[in-house]
Amino acid sequence: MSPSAGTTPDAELLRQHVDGDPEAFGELFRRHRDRLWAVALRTLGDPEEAADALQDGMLSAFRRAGDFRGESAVTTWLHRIVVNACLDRLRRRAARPATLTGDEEALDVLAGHGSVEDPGGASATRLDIDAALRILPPPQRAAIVLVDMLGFSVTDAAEILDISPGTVKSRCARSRARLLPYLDHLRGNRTASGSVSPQGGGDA
Amino acid sequence: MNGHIDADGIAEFRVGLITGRRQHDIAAHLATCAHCTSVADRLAEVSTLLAAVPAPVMPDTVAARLQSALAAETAISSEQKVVKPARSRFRLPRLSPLRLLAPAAAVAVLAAGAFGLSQLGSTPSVSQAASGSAEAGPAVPSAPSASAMEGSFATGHSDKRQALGSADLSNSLFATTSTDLQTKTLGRQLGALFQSRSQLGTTQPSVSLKSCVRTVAGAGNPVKLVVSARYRGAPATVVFISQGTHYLGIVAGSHCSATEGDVLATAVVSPGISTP
Repeated sequence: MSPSAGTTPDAELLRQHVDGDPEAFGELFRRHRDRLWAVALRTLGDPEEAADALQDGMLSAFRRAGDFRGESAVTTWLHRIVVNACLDRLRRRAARPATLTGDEEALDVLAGHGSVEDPGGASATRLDIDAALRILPPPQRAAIVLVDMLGFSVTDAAEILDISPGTVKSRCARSRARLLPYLDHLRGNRTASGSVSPQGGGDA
Repeated sequence: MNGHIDADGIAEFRVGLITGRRQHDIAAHLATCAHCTSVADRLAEVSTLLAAVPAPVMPDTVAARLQSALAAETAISSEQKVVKPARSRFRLPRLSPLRLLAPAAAVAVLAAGAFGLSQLGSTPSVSQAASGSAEAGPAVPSAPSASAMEGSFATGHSDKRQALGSADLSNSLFATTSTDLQTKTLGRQLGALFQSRSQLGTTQPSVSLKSCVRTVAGAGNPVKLVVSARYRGAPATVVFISQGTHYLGIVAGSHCSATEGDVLATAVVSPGISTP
């Protein structure tokens, strides 16, 4: 994650963006987009929604770049904005009259009733992981995505989620306990897909 | 401790959230209970399995969509910044080709020195300035500037400007000043000049001056203001052409005519601000 020698530091890019450099923010986006995408997709469980949330978040970061005070790393700040955009969406979704609650759909998939269009392939893994994660309430889901899936430290996750480290730990603990009944399912993913890379979860 | 510990309790114990006596109790229980130890192991495995899921790759369609959204935002914000004063780095959306050749041309023409002063036009202020300049230089003005202007249609010795249409002089103000423009302060000076244009002494342009202005300004460009001034001690003509929300100030030397631009320097001038 740390920029290699010779590249402009994130904070410097952000400053250049604030100073009117039209290239700087695009570079910042390219640098972090895959991780931000992973957070948005895992938190929302739907590519369309994830793309919308990421766009909302990035435009918001673009406009609010002048507010960045350097108290945290730029990447933490970007993640915070994107995670907030995702949680906003989930709140709005929850406020809508429920036709299909995400959880019911998720349970169907986990029970094998869901339509898995690409069994054994990478998208099947994704679908199943997302289905498993959807069992979790959004705040818990966001915490475990950051810590267990993306390898953020508890401290960084706390900053991103704007909660105490203790709350991050608690949400992660409850998430793991809640996912326990689906452990076989998660294991099955691993053997079925056969393409799980050990470093896939986090590059920190 | 009687009975097993629930999964939440074990999970919280594992992350150090449980302290005091209860922490001690759970640790003691785990040491002897195979069932609860297995729950603890399986909780650890949940984390391991989640970490092993490959990170998703952003689909190209999503990347393209986000990048175009950011590009649109960049375009909007840079438009807003043009209106906003005090930008140190000013970028023209469309650069005049004149600007690209200006440094080379300036060197060439400055080397020419006073050679071309005899060609100077008919405005009184310019003639006066000419007499004051005694800078001597090698008498080979045209060769280097000709090569510098190669490939440019905006200026150049062999350029037949009329073929490309004519600059718009219908709303041009012709004025004169004794200001001696300098390279380093050109942007600021041109900004000040443009700002104070209503206080400048106006002149009736001669035919040769108009020809020069048409050459420098280029086809179809509205000329706002033409000022006879000095540049680095030598007589010069400054042509301000309108480019959207700002102006391009072009400094032309004494060779400026119907066939030759003799552009010495250029600077972007925004109404109300100046740029270096």
